[in-house]
Amino acid sequence: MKVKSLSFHLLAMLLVLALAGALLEIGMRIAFARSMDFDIEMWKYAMLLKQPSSNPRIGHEHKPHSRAFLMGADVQINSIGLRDIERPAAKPQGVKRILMLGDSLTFGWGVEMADTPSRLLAQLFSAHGSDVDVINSGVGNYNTDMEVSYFFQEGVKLDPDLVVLNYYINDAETTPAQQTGFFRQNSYAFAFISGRIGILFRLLGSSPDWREYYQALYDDSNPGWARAKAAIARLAAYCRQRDIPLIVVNYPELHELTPYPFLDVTAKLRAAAFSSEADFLDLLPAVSDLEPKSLWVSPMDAHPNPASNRAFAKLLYDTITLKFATD
Amino acid sequence: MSLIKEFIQFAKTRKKIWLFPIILLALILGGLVILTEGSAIAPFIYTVF
Repeated sequence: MKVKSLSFHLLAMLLVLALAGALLEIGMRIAFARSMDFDIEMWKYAMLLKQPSSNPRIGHEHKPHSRAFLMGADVQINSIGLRDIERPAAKPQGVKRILMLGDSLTFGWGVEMADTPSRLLAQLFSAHGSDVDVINSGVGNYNTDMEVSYFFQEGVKLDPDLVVLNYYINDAETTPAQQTGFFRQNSYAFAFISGRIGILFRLLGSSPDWREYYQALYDDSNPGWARAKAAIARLAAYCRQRDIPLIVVNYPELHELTPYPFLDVTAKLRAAAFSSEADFLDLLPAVSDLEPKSLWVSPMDAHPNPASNRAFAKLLYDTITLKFATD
Repeated sequence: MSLIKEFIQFAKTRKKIWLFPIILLALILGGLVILTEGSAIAPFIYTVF
């Protein structure tokens, strides 16, 4: 009789847990339909707008013609898989083209398309009477090796007159593989809870915080940084052979700007650019006088907001115009 | 503490022990949200790719 009662209680507990899980998932889908939660929004981005690439060095790519509302912004992907306006395949006569390679910062995570670095840069050219296409080929979670692989497969077809390799400190990560699993790929609750557990571990010190994590990417033992340097050299050699100017642009990590904790990483990147005979621009001076949190897209997401991107685009514009004027 | 004891006694008497896992789950989830709210300590980590 006691065993029967115990079994009944266990079964009831399991059923209640399953029901609670289902209700939690439904509740989260309603509550987070439009949210500013980094983990949920990045999960949506991966599920709605990304797909695995047939080229393993590219890893993943955008689904052409896809659309979603992510991190407070409407995101539309065009026919060639870019967060960019539709453009003719052939470059129009008399138009210069700048190809922006990069990751989520170049993509414009958390900002409307008009506030992405590429569109802001294009606006500056337009305001000064120059006919310049600025093509945004940024994809979230790309590293430098993936960006350069994309360039050789697709970017060259766009016939750029200038290539801007937009670099962020996590671009020395190794190429991410798609993570599978039913809950990982289908559950808002899983994305939210796993993200929050990750933050808790970092708060408790059992996982590295942003500072330790990014710094460790530049250890000699990390193969990602070696691959990033090799990719920069590969891209620079191609551009040099064809007289296409290449600028490696360093975007600052926006948690702490004064003193900036990653000056050694900037120096390593500058050295990698110069050793490949590429130009180098550090965007830190564009924002170093500002309060870091005033530059973020949300209090829990240190991606650059429109104000940051405007400051970055201005410095980039000044540098490029100087470069074109002298070359 | 007495409130918790009282609740356990109530659940035993009324045979509502099956409620314990869901209460525990709600407490864990609530604690997780409260402890991590507003923290930007994490680097950019992606759930799927």
